[in-house]
Amino acid sequence: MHKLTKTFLHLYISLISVVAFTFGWAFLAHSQKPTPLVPSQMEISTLNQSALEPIPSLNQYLGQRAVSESTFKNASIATPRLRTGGS
Amino acid sequence: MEYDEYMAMNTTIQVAAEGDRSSIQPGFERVRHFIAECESRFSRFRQDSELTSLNRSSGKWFTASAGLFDLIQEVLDLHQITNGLFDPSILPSLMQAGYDRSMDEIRSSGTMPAMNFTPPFQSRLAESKLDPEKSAVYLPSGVQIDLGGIAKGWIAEKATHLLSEYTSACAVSAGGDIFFQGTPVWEHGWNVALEDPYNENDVLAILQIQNGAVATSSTAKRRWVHGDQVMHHIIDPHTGNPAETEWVSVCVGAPKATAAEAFATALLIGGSPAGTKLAAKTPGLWFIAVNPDGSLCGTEISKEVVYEPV
Repeated sequence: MHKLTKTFLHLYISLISVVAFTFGWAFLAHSQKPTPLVPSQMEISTLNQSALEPIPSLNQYLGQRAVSESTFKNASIATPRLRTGGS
Repeated sequence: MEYDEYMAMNTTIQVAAEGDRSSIQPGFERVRHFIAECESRFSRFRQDSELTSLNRSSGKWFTASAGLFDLIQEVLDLHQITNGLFDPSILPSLMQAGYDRSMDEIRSSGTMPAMNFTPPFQSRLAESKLDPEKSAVYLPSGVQIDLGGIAKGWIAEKATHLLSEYTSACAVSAGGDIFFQGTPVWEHGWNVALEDPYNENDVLAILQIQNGAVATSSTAKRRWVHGDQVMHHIIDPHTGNPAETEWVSVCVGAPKATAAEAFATALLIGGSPAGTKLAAKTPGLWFIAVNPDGSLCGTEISKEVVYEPV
């Protein structure tokens, strides 16, 4: 009797686990995916392009330090190798 | 991430690709070959380039290669979209201002004598015609164009497409005109340093780009002394003279590299009134402008691409 109960419990837990996993997977598979923000793909109507706003610079993030190569080393930020600044 | 860096087109080329070196190296070689071939075709400083032949043929139909035809088509479209603020036919004004040789040659020669007159500039670029069936271009008589900036964007984008055959994520930068394809594994995007226009070793912001292109135009780069005046290469098509601008530089993001480059120039010349109007009517465009005091401004969406260090 004890062995039968144990077997039944094993089967019950296994079955519940499989069913719960299947339901969870199905739910996530069919739910709406989070969309990464890709500014170049955003609809223009959703954007506020009517006014200019201040953009925080790296100086402001790093506390008014001059942002040079040494600052990057001190702040443990990887210096981006790709650069843009006008040719 | 593997990199290939070198000088070409009088600027720095940076090529980045994800993967192991041995599988990417053939892609790097192909990009080098492509850029060298484009440089010989689109340079206005080479007497044997295809662009020089086109400029010599103004007033007549000129049969162009597929690449040059495609580039001229984009030039004419962007000239119209930017209400004439982007205008590569300012070449005579650029030469009048002293930019008649490569920047390396100008810098090594020092100060040049001032010219006694400034010819009025009246753009006739919009009168140009294209014949897609014959791959032919017609520039009105006397019109000459400089493809310098926009060619860099075009080349960066085409080179990235070539490189993408060898990797899932890559980027090509031609003097800061950068095109991205794919996102590096475990990254949210490509980190790009926005340089301080007054000191290229300093960084004003880190941009995190997921795809498309960025390009920056600046009045602080490519400067020279002409007579007693300091000149720069951003010519205002309304005056034919180096533009007096509200901002020192403008960085633009757009789905295409040619658009990013053209809008960066147009917004730098147009300033905030024209800039906000152009940005508002152009899907997918964002920009960050650098004020003379080094502070940054831009439209609301521009904040989303600025990386905030934790």
